[in-house]
This record gives sequence, structure tokens and C-alpha cells, in this order.
Amino acid sequence: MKAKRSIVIAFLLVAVMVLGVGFAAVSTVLDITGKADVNPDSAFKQDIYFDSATANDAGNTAAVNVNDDNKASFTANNLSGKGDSASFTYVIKNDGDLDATISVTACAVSVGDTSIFNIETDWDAAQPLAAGGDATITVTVSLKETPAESVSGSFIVELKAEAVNA
Amino acid sequence: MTPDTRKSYFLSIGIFCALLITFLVPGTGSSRIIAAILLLPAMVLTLFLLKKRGILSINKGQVTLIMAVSSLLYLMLNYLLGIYFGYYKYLGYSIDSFLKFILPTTTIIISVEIIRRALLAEEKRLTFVFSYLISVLAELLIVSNLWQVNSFNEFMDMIGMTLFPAIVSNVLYHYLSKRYGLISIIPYRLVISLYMYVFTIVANIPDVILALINILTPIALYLFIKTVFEKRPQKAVKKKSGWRFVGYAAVAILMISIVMLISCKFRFGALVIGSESMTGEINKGDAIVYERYEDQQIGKGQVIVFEKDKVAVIHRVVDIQRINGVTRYYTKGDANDSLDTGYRTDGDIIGLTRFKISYIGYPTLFIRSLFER
Repeated sequence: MKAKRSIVIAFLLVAVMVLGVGFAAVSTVLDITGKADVNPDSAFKQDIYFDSATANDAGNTAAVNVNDDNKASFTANNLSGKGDSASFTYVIKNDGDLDATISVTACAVSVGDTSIFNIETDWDAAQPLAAGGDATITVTVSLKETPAESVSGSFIVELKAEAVNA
Repeated sequence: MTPDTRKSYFLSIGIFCALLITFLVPGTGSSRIIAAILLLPAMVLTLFLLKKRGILSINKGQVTLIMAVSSLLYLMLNYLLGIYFGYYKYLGYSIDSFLKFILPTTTIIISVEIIRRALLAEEKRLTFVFSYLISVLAELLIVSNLWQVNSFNEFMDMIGMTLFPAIVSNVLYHYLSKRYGLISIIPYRLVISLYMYVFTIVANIPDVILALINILTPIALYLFIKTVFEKRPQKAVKKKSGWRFVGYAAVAILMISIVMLISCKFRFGALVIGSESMTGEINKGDAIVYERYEDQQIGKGQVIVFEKDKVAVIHRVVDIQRINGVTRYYTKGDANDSLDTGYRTDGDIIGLTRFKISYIGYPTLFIRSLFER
């Protein structure tokens, strides 16, 4: 009886392991292709883009992506203490016939601990960008805490737009 | 070797080979119907050639009643679990379901039990083993043959939902058939195999939990009937250590926890990482445990589980914006160069990552990759 009990327990353990391995849900790759926008109208999407990028502090850089003008980037160099910041100005144009709500999202892409950066944009996403108009957005990156040594970071900025419902 | 023994060997090996060919060889048509067509004459031949029948226990009436009641309790448990997991519409009764499912399944079950009873009565090891293999194969064929399995999920359904329960159930059926006769088995099998073709709605129990129930039920029945109805000689036994039961309880809690996490239907769920988009923080082959999202506060930098195009994705929230009264979560894989397409809303979020277990997902990824190849 003891041997039978051991066999039953062993079988149950093996069965649960096999069930666990076989039935486990697997997360997958999110397909990132094309321009990031919920509006599938690509013509509308192409009318809204980053027109220019400027680093407001010496020693930093900012640029619009040459292959995709809905994306831009900047680097902030030599931030050394809590509260140290760098700002970058982007001009966004709407050459289309429709007003749009736009959102600008920035995040760090550099290797290493990026959690020390705080990134803010001054654009009110509820405010529409009128057809034919442009908007100036300032992105500010600052340090949340003093690092052991001065840090630099690379960041990407992405622009997403939706047509405002008439 | 007596003539009866030769006949029993011939029948058991012959029926097994016929069913094995049906299972392994690609063919058109329903494996269920083919198995029913094969087993019907096999049953008749067995009854004709093998005349010996074993002597049954005096408790066969009580055991038959217990098995019948157990089948109803199994149904009750299923439908009670449906209160938590929900229900869905299944085939229900129709002429089509009768011809394609009910009739062939009933034929297979009755034929297998008659064959089992006759072969077990010979009391030979070979017939014992082959009658077991015949009944396990027949249960697999009720569902499909190997070539009708077209995806990994169907393969796992066959292994977890059919093969494992068949292995365990047929130990019970062998035991019952030998001691209490086939009448103790047939009503039970018919109820648990056919209820979904009679009732319109079925409980939507996650596969992994249903598989565990189908494995544990025959084990529990076997232990119960054996304990209650088998007389054991009285002998002095050493007092058993209480730590043994602590060990059993720990193993049981571990198994139940694994099943609950895998099902992803409770407050916490587990996911294996199948991509490299979060490499650094969460690597491919790791598993994460997440807490179901129920309007908890989500902050920038938090790793969340969300659904996109019916698949689960685990990425980090890099920005949160509120536009037109809707909160938008912008996400990005740590190892990706770009943000994810679009944004997530509260309705897309499945859960918030709580912790990871490194490397534990590799067996899952390995098995899936074998199948995909």
C-alpha cells in the first residue's frame, strides 16, 4: 500500500508538472510596425510631424528621425545632481485639413538604470492642434536623485495624432 | 497454454493493434466512428470466444450505486464551478450530435467494458495489460487520432484532458470490473462522457483545472471504494508521524497553487515570457506572476500585462495621459527601440507584474518550439 501511495503521489506530481508546462500561457512579441497611431488613415497621419528639434542647453543634442518624422530623439549629458535638468524644444506641424489631438511621449532608451530620470512634456493632450497650425512642445528631463557619478541618457520622443471628431 | 488462453491472447493483441493503427495512421473520417465500428465486432467476437466470467463481490450493488452517485456529483461540481468561471453554449442534443458523438461514444464505452470484463476473467498478466491499453487507446480515439491534432493546444488537450485522465480512470475501471462487474462502470462513464451532448450549456472551466479534476476524481473514487469495501487483516502498526501529513498537505497546496496560477483565472496568474522585448529586466524563458488588474493605481515605469490582438504582452508603462476622459497608457519593451503601437486603456490591461521566476518557462517554450517545427 505504501508503494502504491508513492506511485500515486509521483504520478500526480508528474501530471501537474506536465499540465503546468503544457498549459502555461506564453506572452508574445508585440508587432511594432508602421506609424504608431489608432487612426488608420496614413495620409492624415503623415500631415502631422516633427518639424524641428532644438536642445536648449549646451552639450546636449536633439534631432528628428530622418526616416520617420513622427519620431525624434535627444541626449542629455552630464547630469550630476538631484534636480539637474535639460530641456528640448520640438515644433510639431499639422499640414492637413483636419484638427488633431496629439500626444507626445518620451522615454529613455539608453542602457543602464533609466529609472533615475524624470521626463515631462508641457503639452496639454486635450488641446487640439488646428489644421494648418503648429505647436511648440518642451520636453524636460531631470534627475530624481543624485547619482554616484554624472550620467548621460538617450531618449526617444514619439508623436501620436488623432483626428478630432467633427 | 490452454485454448482459452490462446484465444484471449489473440483477441487482446489483435484488438490493441487494430486500435493502435487507427490512432497512429492518418485517415479520413472521425476516429470515434472508426473506433466504434472496430470495437463492435471485436466485442461480439470476445463474447463468442471467451466464456469465462469472474465471480463478483457481494458489494457490487453498493459500489454500482456509489459510482452512479459519483457521476452526478461530478456533474454538480462542474456546474457549481461554472458559477465562478462562467458557462458557454455547447452542442446540446440533436440528431447530428447523436450520430456523431453519443452513439459512437456509447458503443465504444460498452464494447470496451465488455471486452475488459472478458479479458480480465482470464486472469493472465498479458490480457490484464492489453485490456488496459485497449481501454486507454479507445478513450483517446473518442477524442481524435494523432493526425487530427493540428496545434500545440490540441496536443496538450489530448495529453492533459484525455491521456492522463484515461491512464488514471482505467486503473479504477480495471479494479471495478474485476471485483464489481461492468454495470458498476458503464453508467458512470456514460454520464461523464456524454453530458455535454445532452445539456445545452457547459461550465467554462479552464482546461488545466478540468484536467486536474479528471485526474483526481478516479483516484479519489479508487481509494474510497478500496478503503470502504476491502477487508484488511488486522495488524499492529507503528504510530504514523504527523510530519507525513504536513508533507502531503504541502505537496497538495503546491499542486493546487501551480494549477491556479497557470489557469490565470484567479487573482494571481502566471505567464511565460516568449519574447526578448523586455530583456534585461525580464528575459525570455522567465515566468512572471501578475496580479489581476482591478483599477489599481498604475504608475510610469510599472511593468504591466495587457492584451493586444488576443495575445498577452508584458511591457513597461512609459507614459500616462488622460485624453477625453480616457486614461491612455503608452508602453514599450525595455529592449525595443520604439514605443508600442498605439496605447492601452484600462480595458486592455490584464494585470500588474508582481515578481518573476527566472528560467522556469524554458520547458514550455521548448515543447512549443518542437511542435511548431
